Amino acid sequence: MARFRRRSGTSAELVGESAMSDVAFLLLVFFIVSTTFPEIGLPLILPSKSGEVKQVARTNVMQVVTARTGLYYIDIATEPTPLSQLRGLVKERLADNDKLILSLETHPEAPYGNMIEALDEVMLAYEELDTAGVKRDKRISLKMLDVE
Amino acid sequence: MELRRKAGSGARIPTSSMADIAFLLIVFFMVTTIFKLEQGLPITLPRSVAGEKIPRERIAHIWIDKLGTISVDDLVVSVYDIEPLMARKMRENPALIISFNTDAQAAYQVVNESMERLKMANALRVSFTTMPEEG
Repeated sequence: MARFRRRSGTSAELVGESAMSDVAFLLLVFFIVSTTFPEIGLPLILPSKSGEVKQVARTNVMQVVTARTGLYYIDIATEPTPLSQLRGLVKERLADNDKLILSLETHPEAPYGNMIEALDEVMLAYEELDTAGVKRDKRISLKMLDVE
Repeated sequence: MELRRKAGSGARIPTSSMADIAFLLIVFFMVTTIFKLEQGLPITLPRSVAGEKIPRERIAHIWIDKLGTISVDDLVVSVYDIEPLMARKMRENPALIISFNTDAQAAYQVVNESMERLKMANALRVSFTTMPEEG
């Protein structure tokens, strides 16, 4: 039976190290070129200009008004609703009514960021309902308040 | 007199630090290079939790700063220019998403007017760019 023996005479078996930096560079350049930071945003589909105007029942609309001060008012409430409560309220209404349209109405001089915060809460309400097994189509409408 | 070669005194340049030098160069050039990118306007984006990733290759940006200045393709434009500009972009890519990079302090009416112009250009897919916030 053949026996494996170490080859006599240590033949210097070296892995070439000189090319290691080349490989490192290649990787570096590859990742620099291929890396793009994703853009995060809240997507929305605007209504078409040519689309017909539909009448909807008042009961199927929930108004979330962002006032000039940046405070939020729901429907025709005179007291502002804190942002932290908005999501819960939207969820309640959405769970009750599958035809509910969220109408985000904003004062022309209200800060854009405050409207986005409200929109974020509305989106989260949809998301949380979705994970709870309540499917609702996103019916969100953006509107600017008419002010005289 | 006869000149003789010196016996081979293995004159070598040390190469072990070559990679260090190369890295130094690459870092230097990375830091100093400015790519020609769309600069946009200096803005502070609003924050959101529900933000989704928007595919970059389908995005066209509209920048609106705190004072309501509108910029498209690094040119300051008026709200009336948005319709023809975006209509042209929509012809090139009908699946385009118009991304609003708007300062959180901007007045809403500028955004609203821009959206009205987008509707005219039939550019209906929009996205409001936000900074992700852990929530």
